[in-house]
Amino acid sequence: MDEQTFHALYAATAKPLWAYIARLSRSPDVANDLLQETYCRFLTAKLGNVEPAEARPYLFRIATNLLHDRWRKGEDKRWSEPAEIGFERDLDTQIDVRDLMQQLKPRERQLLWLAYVEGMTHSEIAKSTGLRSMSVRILLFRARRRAAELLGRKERAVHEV
Amino acid sequence: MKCEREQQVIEATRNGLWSSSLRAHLRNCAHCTQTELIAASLQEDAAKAKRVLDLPPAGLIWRRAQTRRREIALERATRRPFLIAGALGAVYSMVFLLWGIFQLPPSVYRPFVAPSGLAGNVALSGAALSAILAIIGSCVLLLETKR
Repeated sequence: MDEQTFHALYAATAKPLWAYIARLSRSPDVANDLLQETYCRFLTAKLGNVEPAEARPYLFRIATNLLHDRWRKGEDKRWSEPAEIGFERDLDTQIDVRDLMQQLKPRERQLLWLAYVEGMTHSEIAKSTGLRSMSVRILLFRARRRAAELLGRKERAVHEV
Repeated sequence: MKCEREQQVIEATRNGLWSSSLRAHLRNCAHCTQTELIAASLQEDAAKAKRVLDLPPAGLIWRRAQTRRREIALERATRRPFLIAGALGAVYSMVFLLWGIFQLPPSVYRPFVAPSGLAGNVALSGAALSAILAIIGSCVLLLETKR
């Protein structure tokens, strides 16, 4: 992959990838670091020859692995402070999705994001997470049910107020 | 409980293109209504995240990757001589020990071995054990170098 192709790929994929990492890690600083690391690994791991159109699942996979490394090391805990620089709260939003996301398990957050924000199919999610398609289907169903419960609860609370 | 039009609902939430049939379906399908609620909430959040975005420049990442690629290549290039040196070290240790044993006069090791005529076997066993220990030592050294 030459530099021009990389620039085009970066322009097309960096924003969604950054948002994915930022929302899962809950920190823009961590998102910046992991974003750079993701692309560096992509380029150095001979994946740089992958067609730009096929690069998206690989990039999400690398980012997911990096996030998992952080979670395993327990470094995620200290990023869970709700008010962080660059993430100012939108007071007009009655249903704060970030609160919802925080109540979900990391795996649930990840699957919901890939399915509903990135619009990935089950097989694409499987490629991006390393899970089997069948597992994705089941885990996503559970995550969805839990998210719907939480959203419903929040909505009811808003209506009662 | 899964609707086959769920993916269409997600796509429509993403690009805002709702066909009339999909709208009608949404009114009658509890599953898709829920999907639309979750997808819209998450996408709104994603849009907000992208608004506060200050991405590192692509050129910077490209240069960083090139630097790392060179570092990896250098590390690989220097690792090979280490491996060869380790292997040669093991072979040399083994040959040297065997040579040393065959150079010893029988009077040197005779007092240490049993008088049952097993002296040669014991000496060879000792030499083999030494050689094995030397090989293990070289392997440990190589593994440490790799780390």
